[in-house]
Amino acid sequence: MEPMTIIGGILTATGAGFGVGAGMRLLPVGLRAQRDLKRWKASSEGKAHERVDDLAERTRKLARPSGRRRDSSIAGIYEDALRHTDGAYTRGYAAELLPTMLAADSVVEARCDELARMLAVEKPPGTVIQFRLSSGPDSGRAIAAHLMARGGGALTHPEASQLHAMNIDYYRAATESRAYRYGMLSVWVRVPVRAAGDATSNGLSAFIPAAGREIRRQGISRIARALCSSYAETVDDGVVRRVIEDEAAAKEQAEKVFRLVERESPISLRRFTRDELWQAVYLGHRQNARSVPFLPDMPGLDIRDYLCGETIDGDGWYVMHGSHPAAIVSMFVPPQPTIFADGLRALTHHPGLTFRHTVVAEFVTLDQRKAVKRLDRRIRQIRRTHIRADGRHRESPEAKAARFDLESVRDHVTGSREALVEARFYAMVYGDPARTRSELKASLTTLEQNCEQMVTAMQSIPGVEAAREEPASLRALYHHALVGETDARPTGREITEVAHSLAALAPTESAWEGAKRPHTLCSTPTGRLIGLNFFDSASISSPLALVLGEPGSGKSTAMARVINDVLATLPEAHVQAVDFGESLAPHADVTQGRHLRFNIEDKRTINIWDYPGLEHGEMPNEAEIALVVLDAMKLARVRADDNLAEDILTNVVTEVFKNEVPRNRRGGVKHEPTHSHLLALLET
Amino acid sequence: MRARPIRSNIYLPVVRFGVVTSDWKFVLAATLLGYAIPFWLGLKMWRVPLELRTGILAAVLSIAFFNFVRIGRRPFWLQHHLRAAMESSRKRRTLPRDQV
Repeated sequence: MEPMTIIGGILTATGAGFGVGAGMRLLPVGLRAQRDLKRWKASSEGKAHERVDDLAERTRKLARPSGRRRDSSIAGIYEDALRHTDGAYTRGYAAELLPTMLAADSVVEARCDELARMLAVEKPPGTVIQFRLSSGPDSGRAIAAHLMARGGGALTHPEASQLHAMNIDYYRAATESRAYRYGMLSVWVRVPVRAAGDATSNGLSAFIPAAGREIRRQGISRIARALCSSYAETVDDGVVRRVIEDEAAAKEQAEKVFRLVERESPISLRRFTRDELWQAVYLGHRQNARSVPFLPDMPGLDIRDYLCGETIDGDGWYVMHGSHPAAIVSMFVPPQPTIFADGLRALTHHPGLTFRHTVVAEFVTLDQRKAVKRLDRRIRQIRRTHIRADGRHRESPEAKAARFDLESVRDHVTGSREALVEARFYAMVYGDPARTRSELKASLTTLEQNCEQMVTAMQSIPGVEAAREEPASLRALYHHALVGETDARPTGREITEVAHSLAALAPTESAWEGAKRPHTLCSTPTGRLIGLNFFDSASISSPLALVLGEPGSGKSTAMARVINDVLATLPEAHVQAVDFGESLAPHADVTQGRHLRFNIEDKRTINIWDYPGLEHGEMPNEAEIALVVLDAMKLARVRADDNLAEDILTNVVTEVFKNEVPRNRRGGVKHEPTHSHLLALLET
Repeated sequence: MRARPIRSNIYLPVVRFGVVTSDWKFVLAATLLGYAIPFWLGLKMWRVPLELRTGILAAVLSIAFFNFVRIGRRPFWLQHHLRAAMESSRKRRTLPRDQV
C-alpha cells in the first residue's frame, strides 16, 4: 500500500471519528435547545416577546408596507372629463333606465336598433362605450316617498291608518332584510386621442434625442454624466404631457366623439358635472370612503394619489378592496345561437339579485378596415382547407358552417351602417365590509353565494356560459373594471360580432320606479318596492285602474289594500266600492264602513231612504226613519250614545221625508229622498 | 322579438394544430432557435447534426405547450398567470413618502 493512501486513510478515519464524536455530543444539545425553545415560546414570556415582535413588524410595515404601489390610469379631471395618463379622455353620463318591461316588442326592438347604430357610427378605433348598471339593496326609497306624501296623517281615516301602519312596518322589515333591489345606470365613453408630439414626449423616444444632444454638448469623454443628466431631464411618471394648445385640440377631438354619442344615443344621457364625476370616480376607487373630499380646481392636478389611497389585496378567488371583498363573474360564451333585444331581462328584472353588484357591458370600436381584412383572411383560410393534395375540393361540415357564419357577417358589414364591435360583459360582485376574521368569513360565505346566484342568472339566458374569474385573472381584470379605468386593450373576454347583435347586451331597461308621491306601497315580481298613486294628475289625467287576474289570485285583496291606503293617506278621502262577491266586507267591517248588501230578491234601489210604498207617496214608519237616522249618524261618525245628535237627525230626517215623499203619486215617476236633501236642509 | 345572430366562428380564435394563429410566431421562433443554436455551434450527436433533432423537438414542445395553455383553460390564461407571477398580489395604497 502506498504511504499516501495510508496517510489519506488515517486522515479520513480521524475526520470521520471527529465528526461522529461531535455529532454524538451536539445532537442531544440541539434537541434539548429545540425543546427549551418550544417551551419558552409557549410560556407567557415567550408569548410577550412574540407580541412585541409582531407589533414591531406591524409598525415597520406602516412606514414601508409590503406590495407594489397601486396606480391608476386616471391622471386628472380636465373641465368635466377624465384625463388619462395616455392622453385619452373619458366622460361619464347619468343615464335614464327605461321602464319598457310591459311595452310593445317594437319599442324594445327600436331602442336596441338605435343603440346598435350608436355603436356602429364611425368613431376613433379604440373608443370604449361602457354601460354600468349598479344595483344594490333598496334602502326603502318608496317608503320614504310615501311617508313624505302622507305627511302627519291629518284628516285621514283612523282605523284604516292603523292597518296602514302595520303594512308600512312589514315593508320596512322586508327592506331591512334586503328583500328589494334598486339600480342606477351610468354610461362612460373613453376616447383615445393622439396628438402630434405624444409619441416623442416621453419614454425612450424622449431619452434618445436628449442623450444625443447632451453627448454632443459635453463631449464623448463625459458620456456617463451626459446620460445621467439626459435621463434626469426626460424621466417621467408615464403621463403624456402636452402644451396647452395641443391639449385643448385633443380635448376638442374627444368632445366631438362625446357629442356624437350623445346625439345617437336612444337613452337620455346627462353629462356628469365635474363634482359628480369626481364623486363617482373617487367612491368607485375607494370602497371604504363615506364622503368625498373637495377637489381643488387646479389645472393639471394629478389625482392618482387620491384615487389610490386604498390597498387592493388578494391572491384568491376574491380581492379585498379596502374592507370589501369583491369578485368578478364574466360571460365567457355569449347567448347562442341568437340573442333577443330583451335578453338581459334575466339580469335586470331578476328578483333575487338584491345584493350589491355592478353589471358592466363594454363595447370597443374596432378599426373597421382591419377588422374586415381579418374577416376576409379567415374566409380565405377556410376556403384553402377544402383543396386536397390531388386538387379535389371537399368541405367538411365544420368548415362549411364556419364559412357560412363568416360570409354572413361579411355581407352584413358590406355597404351598410353595420360595424364589427368587440363586447365584454361581466358583473362585479361586492361583499359586506369586513374588519375582523369572523366578519370576513361571514362576508365571504355570502359573497360566494351571491356569485353563484349571478352565474345562475347569467346562464339563464339561452346559450350563455358564465363563471367566476380565477385568482390570476381576477387580479389582472379587477383594476380595469373600476369606474373610469376601462380601455381598449384586450383582456381575453372579448366577443366579436356585429353591432346589431351585441347591442342587446347593453343593460338599459328597468322596472317602473313607481309614483313620486305614492299612497300605496307594493312589491313587484322583479324585486322592486314601488309606490302607486292613482290620483297623481301629473301622470294620470283620468284615474282608472284595471286589475286583472284569475279567480283567487288576490284582486280583491289588492283592491282592499289600495282602499285602505287611500283612506289612511289622503285627507278626507271617501271610498265607494261595489263588490258583488262581498270580498271587501271584512275590510268594511274593520274600518267601520257602511256596507250595503245586495239582495237580488228585493227590487228596492240601493238607497237607505227607499222603502216599500214610497212610490205611492206613503209616509215611512218609525223603523224606516230610525234606519236612515242610524245611517246618517254612522256617516257623520257620531257616537251611538249621542242622544242629542240622534234627536236632531230624527227631526231633520222626518222633515226631509215630509218634503219629498208627497212628490210621489200613483202612476208617476218615483222620487226618492237622498242624503243630499238632508244636507241641504241641515245647511239651511 | 327578432332573433339577432351570435356567430361563434367570429369571436372564437382560429386554431391550427391546437395553436391559436396569433401564437404561431412563437412556435416558429422556438423552432428557429432550436435549429440555429446547435447549427452555429456545430454540435453533433451520434454523427447526426444536433439541429435536426432540436429543431423538431422545439417545434413539438412549443406546440404541446400552446395546446396545454389553451385546451380546457380560459382565454388569456397564460398571460394572466404570467402577470400574476411577476406582480405582487398586493397593490398597496399610496403613502406620503411616495411623494419624496
